[in-house]
Amino acid sequence: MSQIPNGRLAALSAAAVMTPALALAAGPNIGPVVRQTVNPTAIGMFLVFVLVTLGITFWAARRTRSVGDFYNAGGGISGFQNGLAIAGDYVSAASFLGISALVYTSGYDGLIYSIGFLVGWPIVVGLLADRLRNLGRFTFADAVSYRLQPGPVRTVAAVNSLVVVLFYLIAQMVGAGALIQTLFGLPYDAAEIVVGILMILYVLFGGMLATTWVQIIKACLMLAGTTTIVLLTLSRFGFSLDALFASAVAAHPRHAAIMAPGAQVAHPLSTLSLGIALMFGTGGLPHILMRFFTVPDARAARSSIAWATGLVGYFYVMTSLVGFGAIALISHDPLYLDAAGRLRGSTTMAALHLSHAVGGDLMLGFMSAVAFATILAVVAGLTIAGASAISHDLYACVLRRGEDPGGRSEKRVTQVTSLAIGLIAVALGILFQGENVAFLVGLAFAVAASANFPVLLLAMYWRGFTTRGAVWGGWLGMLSSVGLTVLSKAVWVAILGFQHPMFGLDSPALISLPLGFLGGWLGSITDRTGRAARERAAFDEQYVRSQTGIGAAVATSH
Amino acid sequence: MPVEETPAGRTEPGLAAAIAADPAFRVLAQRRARLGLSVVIPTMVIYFGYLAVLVSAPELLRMRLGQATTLGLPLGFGVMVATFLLVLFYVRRAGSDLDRLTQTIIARHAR
Repeated sequence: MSQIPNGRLAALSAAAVMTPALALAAGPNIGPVVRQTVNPTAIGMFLVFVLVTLGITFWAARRTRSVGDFYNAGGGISGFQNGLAIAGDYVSAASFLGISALVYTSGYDGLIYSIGFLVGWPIVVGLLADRLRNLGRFTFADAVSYRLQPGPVRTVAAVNSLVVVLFYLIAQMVGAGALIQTLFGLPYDAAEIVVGILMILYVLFGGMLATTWVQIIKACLMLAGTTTIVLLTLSRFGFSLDALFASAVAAHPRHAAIMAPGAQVAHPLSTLSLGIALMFGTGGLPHILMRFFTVPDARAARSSIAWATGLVGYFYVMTSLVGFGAIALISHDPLYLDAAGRLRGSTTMAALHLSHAVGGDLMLGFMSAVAFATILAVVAGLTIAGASAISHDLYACVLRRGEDPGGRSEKRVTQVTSLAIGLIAVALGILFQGENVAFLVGLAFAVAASANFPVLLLAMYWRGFTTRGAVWGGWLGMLSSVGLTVLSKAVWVAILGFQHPMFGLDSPALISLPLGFLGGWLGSITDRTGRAARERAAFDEQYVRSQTGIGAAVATSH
Repeated sequence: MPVEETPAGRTEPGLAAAIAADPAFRVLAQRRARLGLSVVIPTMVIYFGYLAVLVSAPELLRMRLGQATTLGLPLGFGVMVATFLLVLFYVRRAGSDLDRLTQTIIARHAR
């Protein structure tokens, strides 16, 4: 029981000093790596794809001139394009691989993630998008610190953004690692390092403009590819969904139980907690909120959300069907199983195995390439969001107090931070190997819902909110959500190797989101300083700006 | 034209006060709040209602509609469709109603 976690830690320390020989010798987790019979068609497809996206990155790099270009693509992306880019963020490892894997293992229970990732959008559009776009410039911290003291507020916002980004990164790294491991037969740890290097290249050369374009292209390819897989799968069942489900029910060891909720019924509080995390988490994801600033105005921000919700919703329905298709078509096919009868390269690979089963090597190569390139772009977008939290919010606005003409040293700090985040992501990806990708994303949503969402909402809606409230709310929400996550099964048992979790719920949001609001409220009402009085008085001016957008940054055209 | 590399500009205090006093501005703020809630509240009711059914009456979701299809599937996908329609509703309404009002207000107070 405790051997596995120890092995992971050993492999991690080996990877940290970057000695491949050591890493190879270290972990039992590397053990009997499932080596895909080398598949030249799939690998060829894959390499062409990665090269093309790198090409886009270099093209974008030559067009990236100002800090604005790097962070928000100059604010000149259209609503539809931005919608596709947001969809690209969602249509990633988390959903294509994670949700299909969840459906593959537990059927209907996997659907709660599909639904949950989507229900955050009406909250974002109804409560946040317009005001946020009108108040901010690069990051959501711009909006929070509009009338509050920038120093402390940006510090909390930056740290919390970074924590959310790291949680989200874990999921992407785990997905990418499993993919490279299966496709190339590389050891998992080596696969993680390859992914880390590629993502750093993307970020350093391309910036937000590049990731936006790569996201747009890949969102289209991913949608087309997934649709094709579903159609090919359905063609095996005379295009009858019912026949597909019937075949899945026959193939799955739990039979008819996979067509209805199971685990969630057994743990209603966990389900509620996860529901809260998913619903309010979207409104606290820094890399998503950042995308509202890549468009010219609030109107375009809204329309990008409508596009994103439609595309992501369609995609999730398709992905769920991919999961059921995988149960029906590959769960008993020895070609996709290892000696122990488990899916090769973990259940994360269910969707890709299905693509091979229905579309052959070409389809496998295409989907692997698109999935991997999407992960890379998501990871790059996340890294930029994390790096900009440090370089824009902390360095440029707090340490340099905005005295950095041309933003030259700010960009340097961004690059160094990106590098650091890349290394941390590789380490975390190795630690969390084998955990379900959608579940890991759920944790990121829980932290976002607790640490960022309450502060952002209170700053825009409550006149009485003060700097101390933002600081208390931000810290309390973040520390409680991360703390409870560490004490829950995913970390306490699976990684640290203890027998029983200290915290029983799978998601901390039920406790930590109210704590975030409580901190914000308590900090504000006890704040009787002159500064707090001035901040409350400045609410009216902020209110006018948030409603009308008068004075908001003007966009560049591309 | 690149964006100016300065922190986000403030609205002039006099201008902000003038707009805040404009009755049209109050209408705008009110309508935006009402529109926001008309999307947020149904979303929460639908989603948490769905979760409530899911944990308290799972046999309802287990009900067979076909050979293997259960009521849970159209219900689950239905929540997703409803989510999209609500977003679309807000975006349409805000794009016509709120934006026009905003433009009127800005035009009136711009020098």
